[in-house]
Amino acid sequence: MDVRETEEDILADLHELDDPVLQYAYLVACAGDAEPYPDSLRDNGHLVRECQVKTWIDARHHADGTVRLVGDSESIAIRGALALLEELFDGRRPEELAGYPCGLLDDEAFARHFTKTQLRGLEAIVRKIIGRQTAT
Amino acid sequence: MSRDAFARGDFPLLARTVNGRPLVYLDNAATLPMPRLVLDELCAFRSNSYANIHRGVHTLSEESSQRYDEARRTAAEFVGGSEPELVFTSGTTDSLNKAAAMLASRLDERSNVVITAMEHHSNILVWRSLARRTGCDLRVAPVDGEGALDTGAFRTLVDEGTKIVAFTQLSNVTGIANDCALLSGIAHERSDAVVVVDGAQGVVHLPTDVSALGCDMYAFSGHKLGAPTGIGGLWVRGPLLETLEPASFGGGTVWEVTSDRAVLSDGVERFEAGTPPIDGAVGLASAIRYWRAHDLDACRLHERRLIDRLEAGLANIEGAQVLGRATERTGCLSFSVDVASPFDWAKLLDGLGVAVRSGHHCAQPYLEALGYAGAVRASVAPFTSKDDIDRLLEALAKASLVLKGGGVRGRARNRRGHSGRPA
Repeated sequence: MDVRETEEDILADLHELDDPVLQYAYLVACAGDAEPYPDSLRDNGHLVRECQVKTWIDARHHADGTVRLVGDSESIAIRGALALLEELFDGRRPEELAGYPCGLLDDEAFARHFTKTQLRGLEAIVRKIIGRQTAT
Repeated sequence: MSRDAFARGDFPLLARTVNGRPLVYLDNAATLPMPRLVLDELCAFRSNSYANIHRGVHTLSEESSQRYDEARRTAAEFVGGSEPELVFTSGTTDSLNKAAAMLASRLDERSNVVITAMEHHSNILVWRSLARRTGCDLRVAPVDGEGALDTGAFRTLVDEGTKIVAFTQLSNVTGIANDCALLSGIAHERSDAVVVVDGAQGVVHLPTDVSALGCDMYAFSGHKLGAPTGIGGLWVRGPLLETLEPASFGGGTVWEVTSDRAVLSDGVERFEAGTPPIDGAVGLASAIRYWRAHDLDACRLHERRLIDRLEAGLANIEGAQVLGRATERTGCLSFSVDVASPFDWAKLLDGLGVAVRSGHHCAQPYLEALGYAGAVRASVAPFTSKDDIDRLLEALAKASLVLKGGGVRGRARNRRGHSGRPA
């Protein structure tokens, strides 16, 4: 599936669930499916601090330009959000993502479960990933 | 008419729904909803009399001035003080900052300030800053294993070099109160320190008479009593206030200014530079009148029973741990659960219409002393009912199923086998 189809699938589920508690349960399930976060990256260099929870994120591009995204958080919901972003972007090539208008974070069914600060943090990850256009 | 609980109908905000469910508001330690009385009196004041005070001789200015001065009297009496002793501020934090600024000249490298490990950040950071600037020593009295102040350690820390002792009347995390009279007595017996009490929570939930508390300064906020945000008070014992310099300067504080000198006014106004929070003060007086129309002892008993009910109910939530141990909690309690973060629990409760607070509650050192980084806090008010507590407990049970149950995958997710990653 391409990134657009995957995002449409995610939003279809969130909208079908249509209740904040069920949507949260969806994020819990996503968190359970996420790739384990390497302990070697659980350091201050990967730590995103905000007043509610600690979150660790490794977001970069490999030498061939493919995206590497993995994350973890004290919050199950943020772990779920990171798992969804991993599904969308991890392993994708730059040409798949060039100019991609990711709408997931703006959708109320997703955004309602996070604070403004947390959403800004997630947006920064997406900008970092989509912003890199070519491999080195 | 004296009543032993606030009528829910007196608070318009409580009528709303959240996520399709009737609101259960349990974040009163952060801010109390505004009673209809306060809303109506503010609207009337702003519509009929609102003008700048103590500067004009026209009718509106005179009416506003009278309301402001009456508000000062009302606020002072509510905490057991008198009108000339009550400085209006923008809230507890502002009050504590002003207190620190006023007292700074008493400190040097030979002196110390004593606070406790139970404090809100507002009653830590001002004294840390003062210690850095003056070179004095900042001493922190620890808590015991149950989250209460170690009074013996507190006594040991206060000595002849202590110039300021600052402590909270009531914790915004555990609902554990300090014996202010005892602590003030220790401070005055062992030093000539000024005793500063953070009354942000105490003024709401505990009998407050500054003479009985034995303190020299008392800081509180209006919005925790149902007044607007942006208004609070710093009560200062009269003889002490007469010796203090203002923390800020400007219009309204002076009799006369010439090209090379200024004569400060005699009264408490010299501590309120600039246009004061006029309608905030009027709102605060309205809020206090609302509280005084009730039997406050009965309201406090009602609140304690609610907290007891909540604490008992939390024993049935697997993995839940209430912070601190106390035979009597007042106003709030905080808890942690062994799964997920406090943020997750609070967000899920919001999805079920229940408003609580999560995080470190601006008391990170206290939380650390208790062994936690964050917690969920539920805080009651006299309008809170047993049904509200029961709804919180039901919501916690549902949230527990969600957070511990593995979640819901959704049809599309199941269809694509949980991963949309390219091969």
